[in-house]
Amino acid sequence: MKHHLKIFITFVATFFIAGLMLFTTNQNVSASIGVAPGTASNDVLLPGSEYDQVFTISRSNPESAATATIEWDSTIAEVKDWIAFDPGLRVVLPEGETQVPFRAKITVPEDAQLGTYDGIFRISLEEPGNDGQVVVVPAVRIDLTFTITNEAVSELYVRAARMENVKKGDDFEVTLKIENKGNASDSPTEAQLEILDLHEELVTTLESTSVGSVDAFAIQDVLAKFSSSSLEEGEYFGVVKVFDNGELLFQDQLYFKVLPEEILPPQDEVAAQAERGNTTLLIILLIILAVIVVIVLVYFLMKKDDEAPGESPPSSTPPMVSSLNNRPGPPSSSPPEGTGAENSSSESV
Amino acid sequence: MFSFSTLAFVSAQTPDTSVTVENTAPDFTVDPLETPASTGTSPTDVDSNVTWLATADDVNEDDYFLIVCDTDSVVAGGGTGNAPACSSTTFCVSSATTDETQATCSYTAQSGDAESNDWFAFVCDDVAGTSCSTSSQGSLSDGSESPFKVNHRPSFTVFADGGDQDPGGDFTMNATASDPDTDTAADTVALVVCDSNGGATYTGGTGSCTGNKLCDTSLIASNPNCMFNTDDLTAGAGGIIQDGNYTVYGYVFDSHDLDSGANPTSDTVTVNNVTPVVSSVTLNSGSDITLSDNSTVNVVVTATVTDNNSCEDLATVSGNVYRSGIGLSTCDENAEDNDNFCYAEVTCTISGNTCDNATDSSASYSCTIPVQFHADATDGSSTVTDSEYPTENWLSSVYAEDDGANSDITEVAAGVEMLSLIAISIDPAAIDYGSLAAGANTGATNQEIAVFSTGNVGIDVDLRGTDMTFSTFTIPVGNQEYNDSAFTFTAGSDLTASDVELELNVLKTLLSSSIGTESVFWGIEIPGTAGSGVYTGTNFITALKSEVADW
Repeated sequence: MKHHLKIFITFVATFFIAGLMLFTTNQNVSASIGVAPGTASNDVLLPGSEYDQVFTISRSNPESAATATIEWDSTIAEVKDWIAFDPGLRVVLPEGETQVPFRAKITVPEDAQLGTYDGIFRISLEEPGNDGQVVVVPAVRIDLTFTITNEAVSELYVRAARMENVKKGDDFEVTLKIENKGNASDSPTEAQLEILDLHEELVTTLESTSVGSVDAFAIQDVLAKFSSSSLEEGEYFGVVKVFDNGELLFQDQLYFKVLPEEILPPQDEVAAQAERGNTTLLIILLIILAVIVVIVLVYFLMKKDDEAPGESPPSSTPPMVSSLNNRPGPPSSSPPEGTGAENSSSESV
Repeated sequence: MFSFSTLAFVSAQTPDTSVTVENTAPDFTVDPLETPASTGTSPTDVDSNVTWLATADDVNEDDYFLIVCDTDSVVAGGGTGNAPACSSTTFCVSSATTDETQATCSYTAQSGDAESNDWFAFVCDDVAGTSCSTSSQGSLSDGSESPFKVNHRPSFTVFADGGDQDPGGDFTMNATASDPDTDTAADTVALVVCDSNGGATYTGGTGSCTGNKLCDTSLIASNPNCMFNTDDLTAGAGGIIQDGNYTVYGYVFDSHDLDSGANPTSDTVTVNNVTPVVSSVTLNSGSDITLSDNSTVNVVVTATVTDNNSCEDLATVSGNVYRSGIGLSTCDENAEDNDNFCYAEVTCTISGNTCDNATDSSASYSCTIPVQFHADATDGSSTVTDSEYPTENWLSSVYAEDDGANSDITEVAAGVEMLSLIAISIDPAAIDYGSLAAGANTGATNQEIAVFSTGNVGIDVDLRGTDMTFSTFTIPVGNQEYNDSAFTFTAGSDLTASDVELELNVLKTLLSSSIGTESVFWGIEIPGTAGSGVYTGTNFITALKSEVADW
């Protein structure tokens, strides 16, 4: 066992050192970093409000892990305390990941003075292996500007809509992805759903019973709900219109189905689910079997190493003793003369 | 003179007596009648039989024939086994029938027969010197008496539809048909339309088909027509039907349920190839697009395409992504591709809602578009400091074309921003000034660091650095100089520990194969008291967005 372990360690160490030498002696690597968005601002923050901005760090060569360091600076000292970064001022960029997000959270104090504030934060790249007389570190600077106001601002932007299939008799729901650019929680005042058949002939028009609200400065999925109608099973188009105080914010034509009231998975899907489950179980069993085989092999290797070549295994029965006078003496503790190196330890480093 | 001698030869003999009984014609004991009665309201259809029954008594106990004529005139047969014949038209004559048993004969109505046909029935005996009775036209008043009525087939000359229809439309089937019969009441006609030529019937005011009935009419005077939906051609596939020709069959019947001799007459109806409809278009799931340093990001466009001729009709589905200022019409062909603002005709594949069969109308598609790092930014609000197109956004459209070259293109309902990406690449990432003696400087020899703009903005740079150190010795940061072009030492700018902007004006990249680049040139002076050794330090090159006008 020790012999094999030594061989293994030697191999790994050689490989590691060679690799380390390769990386540490290469002074001519390029380095790159990107951050988006390159523009960050909010001009409608209220005292006491919170604002999150997500940034994304990107690298075109994520062949090794690296770290990005964030330095935040503002011309106004107290503003520096308004911002917290998640996951922190050091962002790990894992190997193989081309994009990694981080979040800047601005918490405006209740007693913040109205006005415009700005600051800068720099994201610099620390990559292992860069070495030389002068290491050049690439970095990106993001300018952040925000304005504290006491004016209520309402601005909604509907980014997308989607509609899932619905069972006959159930209420209709349209999921709206809404961006609230205002500084208070808000929601559209109403939504309308025109249902058309596949020939785009109007079947019925439904008015929303409720539309969900979106937090200030957030982008969220909310539901616009409509009472069920007597639609028969089949395929339809739904033209969804979203209004805010009479103004049309958004309109889109969606496709959906009205399904039978009782939906059972098709038999082939049931069989497929069972098959997937069986496949997963089989993979787990194979992994366990492989581990057992490895353990057994290691055990036998260890056992074999305990029996050093040339030595006979210790006898399980004591030697025959013909008489006390002929009892063999204890083995010699020192090597016989002349054997020298032959009797040196058989283990090498 | 009568003599004894004559008389002597007359022996005693039995005198023969004979009498000739003359043949007497038989007489009806049961007057002839039609069975079933052939009346104006229940006439005998052409090619169907009128059957007469009668019973006669012959005093001579001879067999007899029943014969039915169209006039009151018959010619006896003239001998045993010879049936009588009518002077004009013989409707029918029975076989020789035993005296006092019922005789029957039938006549098959012909298309040339009049609607109403008088008949005269006779019974004639089957004997030499045959003779016939006087005629009888039946004695009942239940319609079984003369005349018999013939129902003629309706005429059916033209069967045509009213024109091609889209899926979900109604075909109007028109028949040019009428019935010539007017006896008692004018006959009327009805139309039954089937999807096969396996046969049809019309009973009790309703038609039925061996195959599927598409439509039928009630009885009208002439030229019936009815409608059926394209859905009926596919047995209710929700209005989804493949375009093309379909053969339908028309059957005309009269008010006595008699079919026309022209049944069935076929017509070919045509279902139009209609345009597919693109709906539920998305772009990047409604999220702003975040680009990646010097590489591409996959932007996904999805849509659902519906074709009422079946999703199997679809031949091409492709997606386009473009800056809103470019517009759909100028970014829908590959020739219009420009990685800064237009990605056109990217093939989409089915994803999720699959096209299952010929009665399936829709399928969902996904198009993955690799967007380059230098695609035009649209975020911010200022064209001076933020981006070139802050009032625009990015849109997507999906184009679908079917096998008949009918197409639709739909744009996403709401655009998303292409976020600005400030990205920098430097090469090399280290400066090696080589070996210099204490007190010496690099003179006109510069170390050059190439700076690349690997985002979608033009960039300037902030420069700062640290002191270079070796053991206890220091080369102050200010001993390094830089410039945006080659220089001789002392002519450059001193490096500081705080960021100082250099208007490098690295242009925004327009082609991924030709990235915008400028260089920063470096020099150094070694202090006179510096100890010998390898000094190290760190310089920072920080990219910042340059003025938009300089991009």
